[in-house]
Amino acid sequence: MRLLTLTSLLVAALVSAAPAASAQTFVFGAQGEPVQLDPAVITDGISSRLTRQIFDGLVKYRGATTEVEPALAEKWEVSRDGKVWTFQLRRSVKFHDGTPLDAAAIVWNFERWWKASHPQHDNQVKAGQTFEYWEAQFAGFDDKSIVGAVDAVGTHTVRITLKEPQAPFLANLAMFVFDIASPKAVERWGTEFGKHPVGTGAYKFVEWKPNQEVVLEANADYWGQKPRIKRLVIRNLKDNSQRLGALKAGEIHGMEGLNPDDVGVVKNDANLQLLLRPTNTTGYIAFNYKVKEFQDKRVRQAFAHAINKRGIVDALYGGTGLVASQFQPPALWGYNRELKDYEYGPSHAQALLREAGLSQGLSDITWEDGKKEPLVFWYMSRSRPYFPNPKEIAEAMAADLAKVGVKTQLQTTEWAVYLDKRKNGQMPLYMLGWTGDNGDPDNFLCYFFCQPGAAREGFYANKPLADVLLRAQKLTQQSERAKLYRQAEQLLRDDVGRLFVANNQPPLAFAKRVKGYVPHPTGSEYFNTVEMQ
Amino acid sequence: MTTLDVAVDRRAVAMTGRGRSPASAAWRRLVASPAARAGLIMVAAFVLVALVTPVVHLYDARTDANLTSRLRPPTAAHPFGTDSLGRDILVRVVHATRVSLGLAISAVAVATVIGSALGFLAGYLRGRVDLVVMFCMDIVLAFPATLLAIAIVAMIGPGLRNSLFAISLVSIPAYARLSRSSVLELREQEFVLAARGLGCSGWRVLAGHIVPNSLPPLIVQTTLSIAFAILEAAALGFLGLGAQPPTPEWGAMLADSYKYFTSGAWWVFCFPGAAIMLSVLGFNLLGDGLRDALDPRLGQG
Repeated sequence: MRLLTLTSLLVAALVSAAPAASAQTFVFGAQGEPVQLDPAVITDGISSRLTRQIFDGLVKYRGATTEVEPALAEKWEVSRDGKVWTFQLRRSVKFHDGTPLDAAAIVWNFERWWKASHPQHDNQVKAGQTFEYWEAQFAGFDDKSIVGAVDAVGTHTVRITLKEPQAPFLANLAMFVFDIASPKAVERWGTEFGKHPVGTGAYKFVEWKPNQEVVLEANADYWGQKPRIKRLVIRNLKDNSQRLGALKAGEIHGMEGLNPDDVGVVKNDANLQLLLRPTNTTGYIAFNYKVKEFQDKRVRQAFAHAINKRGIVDALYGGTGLVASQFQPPALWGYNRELKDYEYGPSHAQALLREAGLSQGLSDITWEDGKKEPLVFWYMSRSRPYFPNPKEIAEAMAADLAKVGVKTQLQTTEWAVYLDKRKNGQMPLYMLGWTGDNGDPDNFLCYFFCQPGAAREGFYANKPLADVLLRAQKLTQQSERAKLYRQAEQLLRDDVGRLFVANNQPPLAFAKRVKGYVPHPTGSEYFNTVEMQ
Repeated sequence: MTTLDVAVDRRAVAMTGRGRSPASAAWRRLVASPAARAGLIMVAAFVLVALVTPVVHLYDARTDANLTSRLRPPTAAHPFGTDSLGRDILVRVVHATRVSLGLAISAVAVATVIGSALGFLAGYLRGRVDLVVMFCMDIVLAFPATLLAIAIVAMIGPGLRNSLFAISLVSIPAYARLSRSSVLELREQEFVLAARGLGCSGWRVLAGHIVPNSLPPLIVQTTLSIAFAILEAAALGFLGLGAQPPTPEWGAMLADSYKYFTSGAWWVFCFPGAAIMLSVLGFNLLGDGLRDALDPRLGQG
């Protein structure tokens, strides 16, 4: 029966007779189905790839960097104390439904994100949605938020007043979640807006065929670079091998999510090209600090010495990975180049375990409440940019651990359940990772370590680390902030708070005739620059 | 799944055996068929591998990873090649035999014992017991077996023990129905009536006369359902619900390796796939052969 499934899958991939798309249509193979297309309430990359085409923010990232350049705001100025931001909007920009983009529309969008009593905020919350990123980036809703006021000063001038300066403010505004939606359309559709998105972007929404594809068409009145491709189709192809088969067969023109061992296949195919996203992603192993054994730093150090990161990165990342010594990827300006990583050394690891009184090795753990159980090492069930093949990486790491006497039981569960278990601090030892959203070190470090003892971080409590990170958040001078982030990485390393395993440059594959696709470190890319020859 | 309804009793077998014991007659008929012989050899080979491997070769899957020699094609050192973690595929396929076959055989054993006990009781006692038992069996049968097994494991959690439970649960109704139908037919036979007339107790009639005479169809069913259970175990393993890594199991090995199809490493999925195919084929051929051998009406007489 399994063989049958396998065969039909391969047949579907290789022989499928779907018509080759015309030159005016670009089909991109995505790893799954979008959740919905309302940028304010989504958090996942599959949805945001679509919303980035349909919507624009006040500002955007330039090319393949996380530096900020004008988008809907033509220019802006900031007061000397860093608290008052005044944005001049681009004139004569219209939403796809014909309503004008003006200061009132911007204020309306901010109030929707920011005020819990806003009818279009309240209805989303009642429908089970959260404005998660607003909460994380701007410190909460209503009075709790760092945002104090948003006013329309003229028809095309918006003034945002912050209660205190925020260093990554502009970088935050360029994130996909803060793209501007048409107030008229949101009011018309309410919680269904995510199925009928209307923005100002280079592409207009046409149709969403559930579990198949979403179809967009070029916006001829776009204010920026006009799209070269008339129709853009984002197709849901869950299986990596099947997706590559579709690319080879010419059914799709580009894709994300290559199996690491297929990187070489794409390189050697005369009709295909390989693009790499700049590295902005780190995979790690986290300890649960309610486990008594892990409260001993020597045990954590032993783990750090036991795992052969170099071997794993060389073998299992298809040549696109880098060994990680710290949380920030090397491209971030807070990266600590002086930091010395723990070296691979099984005998050293064994010595540390012996010192910690575990000369028999470790296979059962004791929780703080006295409960004993076998040590379960959790890995995620689906491929992530930082761990492209989590099961194999987990097996390799478990083998490294077993060689020094740490016998783990590998276990996985559905992705949503996995994240829930992580949120509640239920896993003793687990793999996870992070892809940066806005190029600021704060987005890596503070999100994880600013609240000491949080269940979602395995109850890891490092007060000095949190203090450094909170201090860095309030400063505006980048060089001073960089110093603090380097110090934070050192603190994290010395305490073995986490085991950072690898950074990756997630690979993308395209047909040779596709030009102009610019892979972006945050993973959300624009298609208006793409053309087919 | 094949549910057989073969009416056999000892006297009939004995008559066609021309004086020899019924078992040896059945054996002769079995080995006379080339297909059954092939099945028998395949099954014997797999069983032998499963029994002998742990004795002659120690294997700790937890430490068996060698990233420097991954995805090597078959050579003299690694006759089946190596997998994506540099593990010898021959070693894993061979050790997986014990896991996969052990799981299938124990699941079927549990199902046979429970299922046929329920069937015998239902058929012999009739009345309310029959009604309740067969109603429950019909409920289980109402769901496609594979889907039901997946649902059960998804509910109680993945792992070998839980898949054993799920596979045996979904196999029970076939045995209950089969043994019940045998009892219903046998309980009106003359030799049973005679035993009863001579004053045997109800239990003695059931245990001494009815059960032994309904064994042949059960044996056939058992052999065939091992094939089904192997597939079922592989399906659960493929979905990540059966054996947990790094334990080698055919279905899980297939699931881990089929993605290497695109990069040309055929050996990683061909060998575990072949193991599933050959073992299922073996048990099916043997099962078919047994059915012919144990059914006197199909023999040359």
